[in-house]
Amino acid sequence: MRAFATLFASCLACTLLCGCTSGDSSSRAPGKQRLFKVEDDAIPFKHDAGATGQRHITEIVGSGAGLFDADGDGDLDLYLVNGARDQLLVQIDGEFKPASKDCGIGGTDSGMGIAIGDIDGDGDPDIFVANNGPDRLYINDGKARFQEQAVQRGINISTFSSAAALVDIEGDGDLDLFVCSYLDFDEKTFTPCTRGDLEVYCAPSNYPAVPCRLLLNDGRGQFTDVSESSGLNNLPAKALGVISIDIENDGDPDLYVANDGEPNFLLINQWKQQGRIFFEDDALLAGCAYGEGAKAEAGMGVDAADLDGDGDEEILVTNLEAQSNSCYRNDGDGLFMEISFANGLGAASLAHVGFGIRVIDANLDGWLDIFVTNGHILDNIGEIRQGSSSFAQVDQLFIGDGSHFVLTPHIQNNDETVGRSLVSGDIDNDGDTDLIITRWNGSPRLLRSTAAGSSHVIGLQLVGTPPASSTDAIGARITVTAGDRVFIREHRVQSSYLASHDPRQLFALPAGNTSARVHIRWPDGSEGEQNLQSGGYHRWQQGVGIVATTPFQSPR
Amino acid sequence: MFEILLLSTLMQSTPDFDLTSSMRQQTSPMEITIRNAELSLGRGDHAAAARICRAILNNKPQDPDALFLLGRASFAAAEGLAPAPLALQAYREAERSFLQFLQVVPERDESRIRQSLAICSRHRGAHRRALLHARKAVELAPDNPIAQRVLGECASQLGRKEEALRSFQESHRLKPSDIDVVHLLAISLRDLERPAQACRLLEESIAQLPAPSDSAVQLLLVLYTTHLFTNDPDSAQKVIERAATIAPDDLRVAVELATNLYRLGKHPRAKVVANRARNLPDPTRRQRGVIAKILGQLHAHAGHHAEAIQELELCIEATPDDLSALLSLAGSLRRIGEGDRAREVLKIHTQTRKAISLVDRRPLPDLNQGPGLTAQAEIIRALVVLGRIDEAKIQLARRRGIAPADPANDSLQSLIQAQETR
Repeated sequence: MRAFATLFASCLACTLLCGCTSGDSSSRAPGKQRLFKVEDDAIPFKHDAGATGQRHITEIVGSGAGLFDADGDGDLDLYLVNGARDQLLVQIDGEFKPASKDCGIGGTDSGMGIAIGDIDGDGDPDIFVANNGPDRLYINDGKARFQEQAVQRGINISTFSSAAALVDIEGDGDLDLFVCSYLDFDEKTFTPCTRGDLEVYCAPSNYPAVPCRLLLNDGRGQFTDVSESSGLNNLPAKALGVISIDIENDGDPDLYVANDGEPNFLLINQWKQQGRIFFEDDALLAGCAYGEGAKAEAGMGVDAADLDGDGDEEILVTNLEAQSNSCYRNDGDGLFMEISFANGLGAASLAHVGFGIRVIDANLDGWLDIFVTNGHILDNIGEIRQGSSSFAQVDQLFIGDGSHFVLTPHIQNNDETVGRSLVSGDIDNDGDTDLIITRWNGSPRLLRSTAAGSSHVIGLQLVGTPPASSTDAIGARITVTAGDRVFIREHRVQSSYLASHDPRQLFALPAGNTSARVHIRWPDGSEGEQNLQSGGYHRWQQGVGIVATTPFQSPR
Repeated sequence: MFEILLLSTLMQSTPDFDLTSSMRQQTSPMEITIRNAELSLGRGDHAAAARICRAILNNKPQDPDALFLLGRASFAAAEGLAPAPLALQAYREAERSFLQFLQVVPERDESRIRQSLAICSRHRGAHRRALLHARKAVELAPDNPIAQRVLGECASQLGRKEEALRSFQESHRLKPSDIDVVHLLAISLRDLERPAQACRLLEESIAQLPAPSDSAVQLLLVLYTTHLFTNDPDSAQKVIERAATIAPDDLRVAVELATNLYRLGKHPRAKVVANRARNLPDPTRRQRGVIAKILGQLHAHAGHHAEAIQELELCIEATPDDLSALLSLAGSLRRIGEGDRAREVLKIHTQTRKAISLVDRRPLPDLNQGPGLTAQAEIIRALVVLGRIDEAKIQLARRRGIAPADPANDSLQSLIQAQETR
């Protein structure tokens, strides 16, 4: 990751003077061109659901992925969780290749989600993998060689974990670990479910809920489970998605948890108010527990972003078919309103089973867009519905204008697929957001963005300074002001479905602007402000300022 | 609606039960009395007919003519009776009379009597017995489209979807012009996850109807919901627009049009349609609730919370079980600073959600078993919470029919009465 700091002085000068990555921006404007180029064979990996032939629910909901710079060479590598054997792929000359066998990765657990961050505070990214079975913690030596140390570092979780988030709950400058529990599945007592004459994967309602877990980091990567004292054990969950989000804007991170078939949680962190680590579920009162029509929906993926530009973040949740994907508009003061039928996201999502969801500026027009990957949870739904529904489904890109979203065909070769996780990152370092979709029992799909060069973009890489903030600076609040626009974003790395994203942030500036005023409120409340030029990634160290700038590479 | 239609059909066909002429060889005082009862029945004076028959049966409990006519009279009376407990009582009397009749004259076991018995049993909640009667009705007259349809309905009630589908298909084959059967068949196909077939059937049937007709509207409404079933609100919109063109003043159509416009995010027009629907005559409680909810939620989206609260309260008054209206109301109350009231509404929401989950639970409790009675008492209490007093009364009447001495009956009665007087 440190290699992002490499200065390419001559190139940078040119880039920053030109203001954008290459050539005349108008000639590269997306217009009606496809915003993503699909590369189905770019990643040498095939997901194995670990299917037993008995249709255990554990098989159908995985698996996740994470984009991060494992070896510190400046480009993104990829961790793919698997139902059989996980895989780390390193990027070499723009191509993903399996890491060497001695990299220390390769758990054969039934894998689900992933959270990546600097757990031991040594400046490199470590990996937490949530499994149905023992969860794993891989500690990085900085060169993409890992050691599995979950148990020795106090992580003893063997229930059916799903998503996870690394977040500094009590503001002591390290990353604590929140782990979602899906449900209590025991294959020894498994009874098959049927629909008509056909055997199907059982619905989650067949299984008991299980509380999520919170483990506190001591700063050196040793964890203590505080699920009981933090009140989580009183909240049985069927959680598949989680994000950290500072709802009250009081500087301590709250958590939003998407539950499958149960009301979602908005876990308000009482650290600042009460001085103790305790969560209260405020989702019902806040208006974000239930979906459209007051249904307890099949919450899966979750993301948050300031869609309407009013300075606070909306929450988005993917759900089952016949349930619209939820969009909870943040009205401030801890109040949300579900508006999916009002802003164009709802009706278009009814026919799909949404999993991964990611808010990105896909066309770099300064307004946020929404990408959703879909795929049914019943492999034989085509047979059950006699063709009126299918296991594989198309992915959806909704282009936004700040208030409404329109489903667009801006994906080339968007054939149907069984999508699960959706991970974002600038894979080719060209200043736009690429996507990776994990596909059930298939190869991951790489969606390479073609938007780079169409706008002026500022890249940011935040580095916190412990003990003020964790090195990953999760929870920092970024405000970018350019022209008459103000973009506000909370820095988080885990969101979507079972995913951990590229930790860098991209901001496309309004037309006519080549620079912006950027303000950071670090997790400890300290602040910094800089004028930044577009055209590259700025590495911003808390308390120091910009320590390096790396120009975007030419679009591929 | 279909049940009422069916009952009418059955009653119109009762002259075929011409038992009196076949069984009485000579005019006698008894025959005259029976004729009087028949005349009363013919005039629609079911109560008088039933009184005459009961008087005969007091002296001659096994008189077949009186039993049969009492069955007919009670059955006809049940159709038009309200409130529901009285109708249930009438169905029970009809059932008892027909059954006794068959005991006395087993050779007259006819399909139409079995159809009536099936319907009576269904109303009493004895769904398995209803199915047996309906099957017998079909066995006795396999080419009778009404028998097939009754069997379909009884099978459907018990979740025997394939049997229901076969029966509706047969009924449709025997009488393709019966729009109600097309309706039931389409729903049956939909329930069996064959929505494409349902859509084809409906489109074909609609195409054969004279263009602007009530029947076309009826089938378009089914087609509309079938498209919604396939999560296709855009196709549903096209269909409901067709229905609105045929019947712009049909409240059912207007309410669905407003609902789908809301679903599709076409909110200005949804508001216009909902306001127009509000002025159409004779809305049901549910329709009043839906209209108020749409308008309330539109106001809430626009930030007009005082107006939203007014509409949402109207909605909840009409339909206390509307969870989304309760949540929206709580949201609007919080936004105008009425946090305590919002919390109260959320408490009601939580109670209501629990009650709905209880009422919706399947299978239904078997009232012939002790635990079934306890479970049903919980359902009655939940129905009272949901404001569904008529349904609570029906459940209590069924309960009293099976377990008249159950100690919980009186407290349930008091609960219902207390809710009614509130």
